[in-house]
Amino acid sequence: MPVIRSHRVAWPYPIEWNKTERLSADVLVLGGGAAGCFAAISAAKKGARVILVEKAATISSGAGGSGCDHWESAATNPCSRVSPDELVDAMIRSHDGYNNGISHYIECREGWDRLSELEQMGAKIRDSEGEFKGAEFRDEETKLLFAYDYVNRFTLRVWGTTFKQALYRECKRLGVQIVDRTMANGLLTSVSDRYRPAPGQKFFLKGGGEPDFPFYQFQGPETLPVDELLKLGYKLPLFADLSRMPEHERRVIWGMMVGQEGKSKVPILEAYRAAGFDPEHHVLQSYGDGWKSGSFLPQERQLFGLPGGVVNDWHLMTNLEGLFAAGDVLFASNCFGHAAATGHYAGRHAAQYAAKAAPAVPDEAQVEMERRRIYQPLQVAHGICWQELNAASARLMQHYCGGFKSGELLRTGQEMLQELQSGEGRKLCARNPHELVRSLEVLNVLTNAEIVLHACLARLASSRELQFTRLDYPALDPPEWRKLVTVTKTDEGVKEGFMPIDYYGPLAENYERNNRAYLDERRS
Amino acid sequence: MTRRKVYAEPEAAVFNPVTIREDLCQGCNQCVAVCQVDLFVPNQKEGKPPIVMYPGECWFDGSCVEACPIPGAITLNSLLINRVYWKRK
Repeated sequence: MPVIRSHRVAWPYPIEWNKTERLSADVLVLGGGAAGCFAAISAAKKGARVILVEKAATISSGAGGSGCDHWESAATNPCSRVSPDELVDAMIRSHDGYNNGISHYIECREGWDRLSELEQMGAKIRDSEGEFKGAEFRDEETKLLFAYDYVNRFTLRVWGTTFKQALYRECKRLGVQIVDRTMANGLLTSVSDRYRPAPGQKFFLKGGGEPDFPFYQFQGPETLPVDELLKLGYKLPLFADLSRMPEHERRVIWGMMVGQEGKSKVPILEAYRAAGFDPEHHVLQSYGDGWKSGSFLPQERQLFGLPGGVVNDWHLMTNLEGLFAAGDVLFASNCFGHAAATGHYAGRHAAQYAAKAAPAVPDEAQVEMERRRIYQPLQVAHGICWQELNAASARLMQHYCGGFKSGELLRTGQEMLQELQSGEGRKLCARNPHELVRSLEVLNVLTNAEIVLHACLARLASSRELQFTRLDYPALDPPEWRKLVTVTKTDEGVKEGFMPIDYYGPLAENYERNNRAYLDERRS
Repeated sequence: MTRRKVYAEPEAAVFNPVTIREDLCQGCNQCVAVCQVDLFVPNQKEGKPPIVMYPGECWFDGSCVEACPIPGAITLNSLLINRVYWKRK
């Protein structure tokens, strides 16, 4: 393809490759989303020196960076009618036991603490202006707004566009050193070879669907297959008639919630308003055969919904000594509240660990190896672009790790993936730091694909709850396979392992034993 | 070990996620600073609008629009393939 030179611009930032800068801290936080910011804040409050490294801009980054419209499972809020124990029990049972008991217990038990902390930092969590006065979902005393379950009141509607800015300011106030626009590539200490994946690293394969929408009180376009809808007299296309909603409901959804959820404020609420959509007088077409917004393909369930992720213990420490995990990297993770609660928890446990641990020592040989790996795409003059490799890896997973799996398909997938990694993976071409970051991300995507393929090969049974179909092992949920699969990369190759489904043990007891200092602080 | 000349060129995309109005934009680069996906790079001429370098990577989270101090200087465009239909009741 001819290059049109007139469109080229010189890279506008200082070029820093080949330069080395060494920083040190007690706690290093990788990623400045909700979990990372809360981890930095809680570690700093414990007296740790904290560095937070974020690939983009901490003030707005993360899955919920630009906003979030509701906060789930804040079971200790003053209006809640369920206990954390009841709620987490329901969460675990609703996924037939395949859930992260530890992280969701933390979410249920500490979510409200984090929301209150956010309010102290200046974020908005209450309808102080009385915009929704008299609404069924508003508590008149506390001015909190609830969503979905107005009886038990454990999920709150919140003004999440204010959250990340508040967290950013608080990190600054506490002296957290924020290093934005910086990509973390490897943990190169003498303890581990390399993190991505390092020896000793474990990952879960965990799917998990919403079985037949058991939480809905009535059946309709949200839940029923199209042929049943037609039998009931529904006609396509379906329309959403917001005008028939009670006024408070309409205003809080098509207003506050769509406006506070980051990815819908500008592109949906403001764009539709500008185009003339009036929720009081118009009906909005629903595409496809219903509102099945939450439905995933079976193979997608292993990556979304309640996905696989890193193994954690009761300190939220991974199987790598000194490496803690929080937020979406945990297996069976979900929302902003989960990220915030587990972030704070991991941060304070990391600070506690760091106070006693010997400093991690960088392994210079690994640093040199990593430097060569990272700069590789800059050496390639005529290779392939990251977009092409990314698309190829996605297609590979669709073909070999789709809804129907078998040993033969998965092993072929492994071979093809290896070809991509050792072939095209080494031909990636980057012309500037932006393209270099994207190229390295795609190499990480290939590593993730490798983990998923290994884990799928290790589970020799099909499972309804995991939406996992092995054509060569069709028996559905045999009792001996009611367990979690782990895969660990070691010097001798990938090792499979298993963990009991209830590996977390008695929740309240273990939580309280591991968090005495936190509970004492809250009491005083 | 690495190339000496470093440059970037705007990538073609099948859609145009943002429009910056040159008559309004003051080139403050707030949008550049908050973008999660590094869509923009600052203009080398001070006070001029940033360059939309990687339009195909837009996440449509609208943080550029929210960060912009001048109403209307930057617009997030809805994808044409996402255009929806509504009608009067």
